[in-house]
Amino acid sequence: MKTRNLLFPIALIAIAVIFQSSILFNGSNSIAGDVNIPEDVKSVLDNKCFGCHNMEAKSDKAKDKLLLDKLGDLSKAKLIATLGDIGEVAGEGSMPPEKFLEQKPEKKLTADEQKLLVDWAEKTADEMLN
Amino acid sequence: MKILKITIWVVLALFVILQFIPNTYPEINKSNEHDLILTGDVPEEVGLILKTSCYDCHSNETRYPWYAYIAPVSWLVVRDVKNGREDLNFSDWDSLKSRDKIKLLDEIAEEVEEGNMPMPVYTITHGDASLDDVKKQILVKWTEDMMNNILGE
Repeated sequence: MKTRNLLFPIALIAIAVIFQSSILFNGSNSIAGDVNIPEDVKSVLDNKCFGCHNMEAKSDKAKDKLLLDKLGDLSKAKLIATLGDIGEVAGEGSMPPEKFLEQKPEKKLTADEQKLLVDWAEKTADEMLN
Repeated sequence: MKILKITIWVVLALFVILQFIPNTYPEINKSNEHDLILTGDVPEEVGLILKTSCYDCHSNETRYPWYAYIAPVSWLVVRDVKNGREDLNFSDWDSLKSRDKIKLLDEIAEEVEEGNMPMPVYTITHGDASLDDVKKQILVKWTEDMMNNILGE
């Protein structure tokens, strides 16, 4: 009798969990609710930027400037500003830093990747302002 | 004694020669139609702080002091004004895209809060440009208001 009484709440919780995770999976393409990161951009960010710009990384300086796994926590204004920074350093080619590239030259952004990041950052910021 | 005398003369001669090395000063322009303060988005109090603490390097309205014309200090002044205007020029403010305004406002708040701006080398000779905590807070609050304004929030 007791188990039967429990069935309903358990079913409810199960439904809630499934529902939640389906939302999360839907969002797998976007780090933040508002930031849409297409696959090609995401793969560049993952390969060439994420190594230093994530919560578990070693360099405090890099973490202080940008956390790619925490974009979702930023306010709209901060996110737009951050996209501006990403576009700027990608455009200038000042990131990844030269010293790092001496060790890992393969991490250098190609011209195509630079353009991809700049265009994405500008477009995404503009969309957020409309 | 003789060596000291010669050294002094050499240094003096070098100093004079330095003055003949050409140095191009960023132009001064007092009327800028896209100037930030002209937009009316700046409370008087904030405008005053910006003019006193930022505008010498971050606008076309640079006030060059007398020593800005004497080498080698003049080279530093020219470099700082050039860099300053390149990074942020309040005289061109209203011609900027919204996304760039937000990026700059965020940077202003950060630089001011961390005490990086105005540069210490500038406040040595411009004591009134130093930002105390009250002024810092006024500026940071203003950047937040401006950002919200642009975002329509």
